[in-house]
Amino acid sequence: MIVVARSDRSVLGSWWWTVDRVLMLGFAILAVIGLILVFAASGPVAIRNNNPATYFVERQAVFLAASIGLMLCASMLSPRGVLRLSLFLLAVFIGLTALTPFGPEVKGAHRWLDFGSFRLQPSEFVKPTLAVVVAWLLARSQGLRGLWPSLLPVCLALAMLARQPDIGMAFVVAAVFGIQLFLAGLGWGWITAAAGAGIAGLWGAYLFYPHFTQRVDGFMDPSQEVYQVDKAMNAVASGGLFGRGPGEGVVKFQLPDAHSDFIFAATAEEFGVITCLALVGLFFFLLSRALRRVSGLHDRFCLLAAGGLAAQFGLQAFINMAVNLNLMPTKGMTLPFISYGGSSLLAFGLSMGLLLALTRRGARLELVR
Amino acid sequence: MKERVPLDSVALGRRRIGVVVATFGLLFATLAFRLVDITQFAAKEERAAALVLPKDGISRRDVVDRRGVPVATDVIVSGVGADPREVPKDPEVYRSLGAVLERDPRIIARLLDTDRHFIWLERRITPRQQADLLRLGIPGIEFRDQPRRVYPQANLVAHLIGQTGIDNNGLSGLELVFDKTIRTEAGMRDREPFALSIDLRVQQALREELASAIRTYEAAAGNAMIMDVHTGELLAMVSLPDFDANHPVGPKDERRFNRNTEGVYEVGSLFKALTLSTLLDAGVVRMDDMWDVRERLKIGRRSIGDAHMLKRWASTTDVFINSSNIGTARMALAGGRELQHHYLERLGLLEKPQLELPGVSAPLVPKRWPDITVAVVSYGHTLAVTPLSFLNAFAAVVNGGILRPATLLRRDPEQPVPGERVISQAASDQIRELLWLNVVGGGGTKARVPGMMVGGKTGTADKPVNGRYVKGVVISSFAAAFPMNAPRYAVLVMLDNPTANEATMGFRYASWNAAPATGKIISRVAPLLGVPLVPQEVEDGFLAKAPPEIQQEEMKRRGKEAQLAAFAPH
Repeated sequence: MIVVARSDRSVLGSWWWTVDRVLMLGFAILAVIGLILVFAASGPVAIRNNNPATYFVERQAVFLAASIGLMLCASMLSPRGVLRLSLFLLAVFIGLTALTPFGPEVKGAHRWLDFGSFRLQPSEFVKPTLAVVVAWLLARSQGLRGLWPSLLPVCLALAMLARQPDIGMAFVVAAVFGIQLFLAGLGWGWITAAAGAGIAGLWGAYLFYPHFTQRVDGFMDPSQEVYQVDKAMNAVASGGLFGRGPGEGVVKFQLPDAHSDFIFAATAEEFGVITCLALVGLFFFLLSRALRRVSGLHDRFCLLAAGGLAAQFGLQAFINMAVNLNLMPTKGMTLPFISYGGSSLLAFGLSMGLLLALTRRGARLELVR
Repeated sequence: MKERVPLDSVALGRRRIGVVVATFGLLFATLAFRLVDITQFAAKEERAAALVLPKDGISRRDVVDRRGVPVATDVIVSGVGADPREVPKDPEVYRSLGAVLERDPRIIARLLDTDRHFIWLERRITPRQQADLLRLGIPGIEFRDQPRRVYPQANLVAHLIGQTGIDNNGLSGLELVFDKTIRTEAGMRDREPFALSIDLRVQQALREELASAIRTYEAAAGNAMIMDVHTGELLAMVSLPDFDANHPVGPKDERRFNRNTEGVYEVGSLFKALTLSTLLDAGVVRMDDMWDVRERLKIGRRSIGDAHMLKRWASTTDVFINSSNIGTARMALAGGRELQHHYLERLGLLEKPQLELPGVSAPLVPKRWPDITVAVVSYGHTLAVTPLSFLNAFAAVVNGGILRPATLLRRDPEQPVPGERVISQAASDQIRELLWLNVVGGGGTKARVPGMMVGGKTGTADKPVNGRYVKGVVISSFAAAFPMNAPRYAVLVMLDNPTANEATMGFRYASWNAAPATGKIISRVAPLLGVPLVPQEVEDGFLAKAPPEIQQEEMKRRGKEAQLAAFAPH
């Protein structure tokens, strides 16, 4: 443990005593578990793509270090710094997202931009920064008067995600916005209306996006099994309570994206359902701890921004695991800190860094009055 | 606590956080429940499907020789199939599958163009192909393990064991006849193996010696058998040319033909041993009878001659060891048609032989049976039988007179062997002595094996080619038993169309090819079969009863052998 005196008023000293160290450690533990799970699950995929078996692990380790570094740096920011950084990054990444239609097509979608050997998914960074900016727009004015200005960036982001298309991510963005409105004091009548709008939005997506239509149909019709989900279920079932043992998985050889979107199923096969239950428990512990910390905040901006970031973390973890367990139709969504993926890791490092910065004791951004 | 910001915005938000936590709690609890649900209840079948590799095809028991050496066994090989609904409809996929399986991509595409849940792409693939397919990572490709029959002895017992089909079902040979018995439940590999009467060591020796004889005497083909005369068990059965049981040849291929059971031949003078033994049994012929063999024997418009006319009256022994057709025909005619027919029937030579193989041939029996037929049948012409039928009858007349069914399965030594007396013990003793004399001082001297008391008879039969006898084309055979004081094994060797060459001093007779080949076979297999050398006194006892000229000849040979032995290095 770093020994820092409580009386130390330096940036590092005040950071150490005000930040939620348990939460920080929790994210780091999650990331290390993620590295182990990628190690177990990525070998076959790497070999299938003519790479060395440890290709993904090595890359994941590099991104993991960068992500943790990013998290630590971001967590040292003041709420104002959080806001400034978010405004800047949102502008940059909205711009980059606008370029993705010219990027490479992967599995029927344009979500990425190629930078050398690194394939960036800019929308991953839009999610957290948008939540912070929306929180600022909402907190600037009393009540819900901030709703109208905040609709502008949200709708812009949704429109771009819909064009890629990335319905899963759009759903998360919309849901986080909804939760932020809820925390900002949205009336129950409006909440009902918003839920209705959300469902209408999904229905519209189902009607107009063939990619999405196919996934939903595959989910609804049990006879028309989607290959990935079918294999994921096989993997979970094959593992049983205690798993087949690290490296002993057989279904993982047939499971596409075993290292990224379907890492949870691959984990179930090798490490067993008990390990998966522990993972679900760890996610919920981190989520509830973050939210409890949020509920102790006295600043409206910090509360809305941190609440939105925590909700995004929890929502994405839930959706990914639900897809792996065939509770929801397939979406291209990563499991925070666990799935392989540079963009996702860095974005969650940034996102949780911002969350830690906003939940530091005494954090406030004097906007009102 | 003093609030700095209005209660209605921040405090409400703080309270609503509780709702968010509760909602997420519910969602994550659903995940936990679903996890347990999948493993423990809903997915029992899926779990089984993932853990147990499906097996196709029939498992079969091992088939072993009489000493337990494997003749046929199952190995597990992988096959590759696909769920066509899951395989991407992509020409690149067809191309890469075609490349690994060495098949036309268009055929692969056609195979995959179906709504079925499973189709085979290739039933048997190599581990390398399997690894290559796994590396391709094509969705919907599945591997299934299945037993495949292999025959570790390759050519050695190919005619007997037969073969199995793609599902490991018996298609021919013993695999077909005993298909139900040999089949076993999947995974039950530990069931008692299926034991044959064959001794692979003896089989190997016999095949090697027969192949060597075919080479030496430039024969077109050949066949040979060794039978336990007391049980009817076949210890070896070879037909050449043969084939590798792992790579069976087509049904019309000549190598497929088992000459021992599927071929029917006029065996020639071998038959005299049967004729004489039955006539001795009936009392028609006695050892001290004399027979007129001075001139050709005229029957109707036809006449019978000998290869070497003796031009004198001959004793029964002389007729036999000089292989006189005239003498034998006279004996048969003395017994008459009814008697001949009766004995042929008792010896099982007029019907299809019983053996545990498909495609055993029935004899070619002359429709009419006038005196000339009685005469020629007595020395092995006109009536064509399988070599197996002949050997079985021959074993009966030397073993004490009891005919026992031939078998390819190992008999339980504790169980009595069913049998039927066909000739008396006395007649059997007499024919044994005559067969031994024939090897000591008759046509079979080249089959002699010191200490083994081999007895046997030569046969050189004209071979019909397209229904007509061709001069110089013969089937040359030797039937033997040993040791003649108490016979244990009978041997039959047949060479198809041997050539008169230097090795036979220009002769085509069986005494020059089939007889020495039989001698070599016996000297090689007798130690394997554990037959002890016959003591000199026993052989001398037999010799004392022999005609004086044969005694002299034998003494002369023994002297020569002793002289040679003196020079041999110790």
